Amino acid sequence: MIELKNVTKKFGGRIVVDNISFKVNKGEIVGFLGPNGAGKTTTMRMITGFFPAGEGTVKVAGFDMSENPIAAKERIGYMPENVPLYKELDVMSYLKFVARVKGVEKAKTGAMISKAMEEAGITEVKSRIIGRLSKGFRQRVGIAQAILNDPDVLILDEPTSGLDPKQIREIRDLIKEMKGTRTIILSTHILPEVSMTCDKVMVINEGKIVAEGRVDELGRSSGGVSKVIVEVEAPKTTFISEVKKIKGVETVEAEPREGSKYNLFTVGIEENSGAVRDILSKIIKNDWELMELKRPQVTLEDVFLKLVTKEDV
Amino acid sequence: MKGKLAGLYKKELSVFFSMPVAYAVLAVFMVLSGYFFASIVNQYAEFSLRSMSSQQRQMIDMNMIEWIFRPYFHNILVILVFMMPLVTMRLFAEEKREGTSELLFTYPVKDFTVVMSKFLSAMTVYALMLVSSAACFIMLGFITKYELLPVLAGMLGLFLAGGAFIMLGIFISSLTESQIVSGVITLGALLLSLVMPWIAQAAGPSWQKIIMALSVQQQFDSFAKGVLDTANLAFFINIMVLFFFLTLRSLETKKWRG
Repeated sequence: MIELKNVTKKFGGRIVVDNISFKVNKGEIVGFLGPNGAGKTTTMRMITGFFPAGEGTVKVAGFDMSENPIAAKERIGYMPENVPLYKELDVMSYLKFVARVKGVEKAKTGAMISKAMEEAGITEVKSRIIGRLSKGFRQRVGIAQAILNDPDVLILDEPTSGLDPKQIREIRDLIKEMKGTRTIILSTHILPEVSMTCDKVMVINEGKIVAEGRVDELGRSSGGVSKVIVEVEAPKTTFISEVKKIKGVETVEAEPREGSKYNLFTVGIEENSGAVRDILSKIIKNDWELMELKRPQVTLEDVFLKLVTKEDV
Repeated sequence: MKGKLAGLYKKELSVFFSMPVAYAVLAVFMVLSGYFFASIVNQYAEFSLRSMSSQQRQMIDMNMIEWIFRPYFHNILVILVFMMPLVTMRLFAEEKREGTSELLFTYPVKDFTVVMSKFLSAMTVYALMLVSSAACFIMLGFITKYELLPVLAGMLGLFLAGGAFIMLGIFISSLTESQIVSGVITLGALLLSLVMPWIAQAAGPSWQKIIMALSVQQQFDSFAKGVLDTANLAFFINIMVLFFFLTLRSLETKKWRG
């Protein structure tokens, strides 16, 4: 549905987007993840045709953005960061304007607008002036104008920035509801957002895609050694010395803990070495009470930091 | 008007009329144009009274087009130099400052349509200004008779000259994010075109002709006299086309630079 090939963008000699290529399939929700200034917005602006790619090609729904911009733009709904709207207009006349400009047929305009307003949850404020709406509602008006002509592709730049936690959840739910029916690219620098809403993640840093994949894949691929957390009623020193003997165990660390008879250990084990089974049998043999044995999910935060900050590599 | 252009045009007008500046411009223009008209008619009345009582009464031609409308139209042109920047300064500058241009240029519309909608909406506001000022002519028509066609030619001249001012203003607005900068530069450029005769005087005789040809007042004068001259007509239309083209160029460059 969206295809970028060797796309580069320079502003006054400074490379902002550096030879990016990727494909987004129909119905996928893809998250652009990256620190501020990584090139997310620039990439989105090239996809939406706000400015042309310096080099390379951008295709949306099969239409080349530089050769057939009108046809490509007709298939895109875009919500820029900070949601720029005409503050002087009321919601209804603003959406009427958007419908006209997007080329919605006159006969269908009314129905299309009601549908978009309902989906975005702004029917109740349709006659209010946009400039007097709360930030959350303005964000929703931004979403309504983006989905108005029922576009194949939605591009949302930081859709939840500047909202309060309740509004953030509402917007996320809104995006999740659209899963499957629309192809969506959203950008964010907030990590949990991606794991909550997206199928696929692209980590962008300094204009390059540094990692790409499914949310859980990215989590797993970050290292050969995985960790197991054991909460067990066992004396610290004996546990450490006993477990260290097991084949496949690389590190054993006791986490500082007070006021509980259970101790917490982090055991670093080689993947697929069967060490977990041996740890378990050790616990049973010593008749220690086991509270919890878990493999911590590698959070996107870990992956992200590893990819983006260089000292970790 | 086709759908997309009509949508943009309607939006421009609703945004414009939701702002106090629209009413301020209309009101001030009406007051000023009304005052100038009244004072010129007064002068004319006084002068004609005096000339009737004097001996050389046949010597003076008291043509109303020459004595009332020509100076009046020139006055309006000067007022426009100051008012037009207020109408055009926000057209692109505000969109850029507010970021709404980002959405505007990602909608499936051509730049041409966007510029055209801004031009037409400003022309509509301007037409409203002119029509409101024409109330004076109608009132004069109740009192005395005057030739209508030359007056209409003058109005057409004003409409065209104002259109050229508007297109220049739109072009300058497309160059900056600041409404104030856009307004001040437009005002400066229009004033410069107004003082062209002075510049021509200072310049050598070889340049004089060229500089005078660029003088808005010079080009406008035949309209004000009630004469339709294709050369003057072409002058204003060419200016509009030129700045329309330059605006399209400016939008394009902006996009490449980001």
